[in-house]
Amino acid sequence: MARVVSKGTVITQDIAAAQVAIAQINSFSHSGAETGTVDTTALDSGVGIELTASGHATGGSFDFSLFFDSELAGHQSLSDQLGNPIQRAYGLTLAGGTAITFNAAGIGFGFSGDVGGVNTADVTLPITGLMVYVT
Amino acid sequence: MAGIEEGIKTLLDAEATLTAICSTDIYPNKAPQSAAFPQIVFTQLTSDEYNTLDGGGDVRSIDVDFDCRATRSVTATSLSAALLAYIRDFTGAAGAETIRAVTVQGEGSDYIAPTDGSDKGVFIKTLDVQIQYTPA
Repeated sequence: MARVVSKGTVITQDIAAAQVAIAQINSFSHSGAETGTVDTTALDSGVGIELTASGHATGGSFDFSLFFDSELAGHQSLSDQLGNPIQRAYGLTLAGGTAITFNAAGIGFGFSGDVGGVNTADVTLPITGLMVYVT
Repeated sequence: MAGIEEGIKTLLDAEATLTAICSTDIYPNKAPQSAAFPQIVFTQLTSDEYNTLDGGGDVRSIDVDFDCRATRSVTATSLSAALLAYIRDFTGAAGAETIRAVTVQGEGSDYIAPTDGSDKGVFIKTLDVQIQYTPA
């Protein structure tokens, strides 16, 4: 059992069939993964809503923020996907060494800046299938 | 003295509009007791490191107070105005550091009353400035 620090986490994207680290990421999160259910509540059910496992699960999305450098090839590769929306492989290596992989069906990408700050970009990856978690 | 403090000192010492008023009486944190007026004393208040998962970035941000001090209010104001005009949009080398952006956050004034019962206090105009720079 250990606390795994976030610094040192490496997030990679598939470029020409190789996983290449994305630079200058300052935060990441994975959310929305959940198993599917079917409402099987019947007229003669009790007060509680009855749910039954559908046998499927949704992978959710993987989001990260970075200090955006439009001259950086790895950042250009992210925005380039808006014009070439195809499924793509990603990787996540936690600071402790654990590797997680997933495929994204597309990308959400936006960037912003403000006086006194530095330019940042927010990336959302809709996961197709499930992340390949460590079990 | 090293790093951005040395850089700021080097930068301001070389600016004629400032040295015409205060010579090179420009000091980080504290002026020596023997220093003449008018003078500029600057102090770094905070920093922002823009950290990332893959390490430190190539840009730091610091907040700096520049106290423009003089025995006459009008001189403190002139010195502050000259500093503001010079630094507000400055980019470029500051000693070994490279300033990427300067943002003026605010301005204030103060007066330090004399302790000897005389009428010769010190007038201070303070500029609060954010400096984003690339360390050497």
